[in-house]
Amino acid sequence: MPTKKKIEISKEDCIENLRNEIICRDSLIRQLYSLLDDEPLFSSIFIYGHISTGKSLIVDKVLNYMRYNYSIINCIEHANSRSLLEKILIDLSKVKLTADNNYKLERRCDDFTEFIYQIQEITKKDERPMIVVLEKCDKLRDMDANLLPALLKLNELTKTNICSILTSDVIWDKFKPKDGLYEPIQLHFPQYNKDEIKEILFHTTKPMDEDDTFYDGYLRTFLAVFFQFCNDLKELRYMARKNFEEYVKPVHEGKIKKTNQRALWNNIIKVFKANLEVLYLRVSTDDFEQQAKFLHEIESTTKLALSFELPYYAKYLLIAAFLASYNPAKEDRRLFLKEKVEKKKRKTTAKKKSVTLTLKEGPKIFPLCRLLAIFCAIINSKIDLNAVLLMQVQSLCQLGLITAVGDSNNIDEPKYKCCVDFDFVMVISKNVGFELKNYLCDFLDG
Amino acid sequence: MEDWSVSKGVFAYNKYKVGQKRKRNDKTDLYAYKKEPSFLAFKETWSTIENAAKNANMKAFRQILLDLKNFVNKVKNLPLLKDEIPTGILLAGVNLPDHDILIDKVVSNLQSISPYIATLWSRDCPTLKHLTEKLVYQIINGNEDEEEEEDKVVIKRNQCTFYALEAWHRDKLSPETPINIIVPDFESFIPKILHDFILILGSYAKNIKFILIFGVATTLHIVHRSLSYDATSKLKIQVFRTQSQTEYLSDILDGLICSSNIPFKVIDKAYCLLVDLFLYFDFSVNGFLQSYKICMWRHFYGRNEFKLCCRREDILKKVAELNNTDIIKLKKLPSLSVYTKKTKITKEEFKKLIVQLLEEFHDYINSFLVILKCLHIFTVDMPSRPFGKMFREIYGEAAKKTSIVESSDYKEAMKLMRMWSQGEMLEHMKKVISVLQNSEPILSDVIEKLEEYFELLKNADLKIIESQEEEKPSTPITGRQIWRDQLAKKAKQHSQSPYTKVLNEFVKYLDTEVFHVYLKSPSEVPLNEIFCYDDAKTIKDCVRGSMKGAIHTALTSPEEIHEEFPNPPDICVAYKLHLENRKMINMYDWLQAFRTIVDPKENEEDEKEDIDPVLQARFTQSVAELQFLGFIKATQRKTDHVKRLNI
Repeated sequence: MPTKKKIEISKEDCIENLRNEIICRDSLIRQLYSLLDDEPLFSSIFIYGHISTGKSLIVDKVLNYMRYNYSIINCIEHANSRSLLEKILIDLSKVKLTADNNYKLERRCDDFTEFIYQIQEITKKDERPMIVVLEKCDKLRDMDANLLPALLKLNELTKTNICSILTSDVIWDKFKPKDGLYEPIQLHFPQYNKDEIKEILFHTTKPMDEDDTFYDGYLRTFLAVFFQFCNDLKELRYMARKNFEEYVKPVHEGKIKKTNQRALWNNIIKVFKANLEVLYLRVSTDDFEQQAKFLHEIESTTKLALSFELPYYAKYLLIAAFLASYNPAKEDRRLFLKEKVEKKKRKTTAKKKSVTLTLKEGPKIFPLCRLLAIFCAIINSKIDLNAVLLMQVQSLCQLGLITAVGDSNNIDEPKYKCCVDFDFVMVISKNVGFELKNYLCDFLDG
Repeated sequence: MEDWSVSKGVFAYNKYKVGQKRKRNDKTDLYAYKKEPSFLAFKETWSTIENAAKNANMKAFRQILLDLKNFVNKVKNLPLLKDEIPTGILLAGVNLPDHDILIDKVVSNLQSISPYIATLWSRDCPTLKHLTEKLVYQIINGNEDEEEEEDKVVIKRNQCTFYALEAWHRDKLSPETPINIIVPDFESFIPKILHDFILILGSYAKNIKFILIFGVATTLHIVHRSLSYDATSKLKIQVFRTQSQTEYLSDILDGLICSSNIPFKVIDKAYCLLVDLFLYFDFSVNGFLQSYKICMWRHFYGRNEFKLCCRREDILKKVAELNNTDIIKLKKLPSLSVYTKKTKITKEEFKKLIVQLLEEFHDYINSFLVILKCLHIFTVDMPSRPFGKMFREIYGEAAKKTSIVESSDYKEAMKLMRMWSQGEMLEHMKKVISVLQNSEPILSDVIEKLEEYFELLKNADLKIIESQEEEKPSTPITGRQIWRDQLAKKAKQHSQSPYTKVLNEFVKYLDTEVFHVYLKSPSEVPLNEIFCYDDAKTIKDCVRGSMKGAIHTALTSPEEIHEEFPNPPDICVAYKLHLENRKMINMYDWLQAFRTIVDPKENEEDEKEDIDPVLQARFTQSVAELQFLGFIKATQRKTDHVKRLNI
């Protein structure tokens, strides 16, 4: 058993060693280190924090430094417990998958009993403490019911020195089933603040041959613009790299001096603005103009709607679907019939009309025949409802403009819902010269 | 091109016309038709069309394939990218039934650069597990030589996991070797699966270089809508676009119409129908080609004499092959009636005449297309675009029964042409002259004349020259109206510059001596029946899958479907009777009427006798069938009545 002082020393050693790769996380490393340095190990540790707060990186590096026998599992990847357990065994037993063993384990591991047995076998060969890291462990909730509770108490079950580390961006309270669960030790990774981000960006994105103060100045201007919109490290890192090329261009060309911050700022502000719009979109084109074009398409509904290349009747079908979704069925007669239908007058008209607009309520479900009836009504010419046309309905479904609702086996009366918004349909109907507002209840009554 | 369809392809056609008589002659050879001259002619023409379409395809895809190749090549040469997956998004256009062709081309093109390619279709990947298996299986086993036995696969399907892939990759390949994953139908995937898939790829990107290629039918928007930020942040997206479907059709059509290799032309209403079907219903180029094929098939079927629809070089050979029945049929062609009525001609003379006329037709159609192109160049930049933007539109106009020069649009165009400025006119003329010089039958006299006018127009003065001499009124002014007319005329003469004069002259020349001469409607030219197809009605029945019409014809005239009915089937009787009713149908009356028709004898004898249970059962069955087909519906409104649907 190492003395307390010894532990302290090795802890600081670890931080120093990882300094190259990890900064701004000293206290967390310290905590994690002391948690993992205990003998025997804790049965489980739960780490949670938002994405890109350094969870995986720190766990990986610390474990690597401590030379434990460990396995890192990404839970999304495994659809069933078998593949998950086998992956753990492969990692821990250091089996090399090659063509000779057909890329599989010698012994199948179908259930937990087998898993425990094999873990015990491994400890006989390798006495180092074992760690199982389960990343994105929120997925475990969807797998076999016994998996999560068992993984939380691995050391108890296997009677070996093993610890499981679960990482997730979901808090622990969301994991608890009704009948309770073994409580792991919890560790929270907070988000980085602005200064930390700046420091990290400085270390990760600075080109080798760039001047320190110059780059520091760049990052300060960069963060002044970007940090209020995005505090995700990954995205900022990407953007910082992308924008720096533009920033430094006039300097390389000799137009602006490195020290002239003001001129540089004036030069870059346009690029910043444009890139701010594509934040999170990750569309990279070499051509700046093309990027602006895409951006417009994504931004404005008009452009988006026009960029949909639909056949003429498909456009009308879409309009019909929209009308069917946003008009109550009982109004159809009044809206679409050529000759005016007199409303039957009833004595009890005292009832107040509900004021809510149907447009605000979201799309309603409609059956196929209503769609076709409205389609025939709004299209002026006589139209033959042939197979080619009916296939367009399916085609619209595939494009995500309308969706089929309910059971797909219902071939007698399939039901749909319109998925596009008013502005979109407005553009489409303008495009074909259709007066949409004349056919919407909300506009006629209100 | 096979008649396959894609999920996104929305075209429907019947191989035979509904209601068409199908002769069943078991004795004859099933494939006898393959030896018929008409079939051979069909096959020959179709192969040329197919080639033309293929060329257009290649042209359409070349740029995008090149771009993709460059993209993959670039990524391949990069070092391992730790935190992002290079992703190509192929915006392939809505309703692209040729998606399959494109994807196949992409795969075969990329194969040479990096052989590890997996194609993941949404239909194969309902869950993440299936997707993983499919991917890993294709990558690890797919590249083995085909000679190997199936049981020698490296990895079994249920062992296909990402860690197996990683191990295999480490084992067999260098870390820089990219693995290409093509997802052709992005929209059809469940977003969650793709999202998880990308996250997994992201976690393995440290060790394996992946290249993702998404085929997106709609817009880039969908990618960001269906994937949340944590997935997209793993990607580095580059966008590739194909040309739009309408442009693509225009390209294909230009290939089909303008090529002098393809003697077969679809004209008039049939042409309009095909184009409309494309524009209004589906946007499917492949569907269009299939319809075109049906037109051709209809054109040639059973008409051996139409083998004359061939290339110019083969005319003599084909004419020599004509037999007597062919000649009799040919003589009956309406466009030949002028020649055959006048005098009696011998077989040899007739053959000679045919050769001459065929050659004339070839000359005509080629010069027709060239001059049409010229007219297109002249009109395409006009403010109101009288004949549309695309060549296919002006062709549709020109291929009508009445000649294009008679249309009001044409007159409008001529009027607009007179208003052009010198610069505009000269620019257009330059283009036209180059088109004329480069196209097949060189119309030298037209070119000469155009060049002459070009010089004249170039040198013409734009200033108005006041005519000095005072014209004396030749006739005494008798009325106010006449005086006004004369004044207007004078003003016009005075205001005309030399340029305007030459321009007017030129336009008049074009109008009377070029367009009027060459742009005759194809249906006015002798022997057009052999080359041109315009039976819109038949094609409509074949190409548009009109279900209601088909059911109606089948029920009203069953003999068209099957000639061996002794009596019309019960359901037909019931259907015809139901047509006579209005909204509600009384079941009892219906039964009585049914009885009178099906069994008239029994009816005569005793009217009030109980109905034969067999007859009643037959009636009930046919009513049930009608209900199944959706013609009637049970109703609570009135007892013993059914409601009639779709009136």
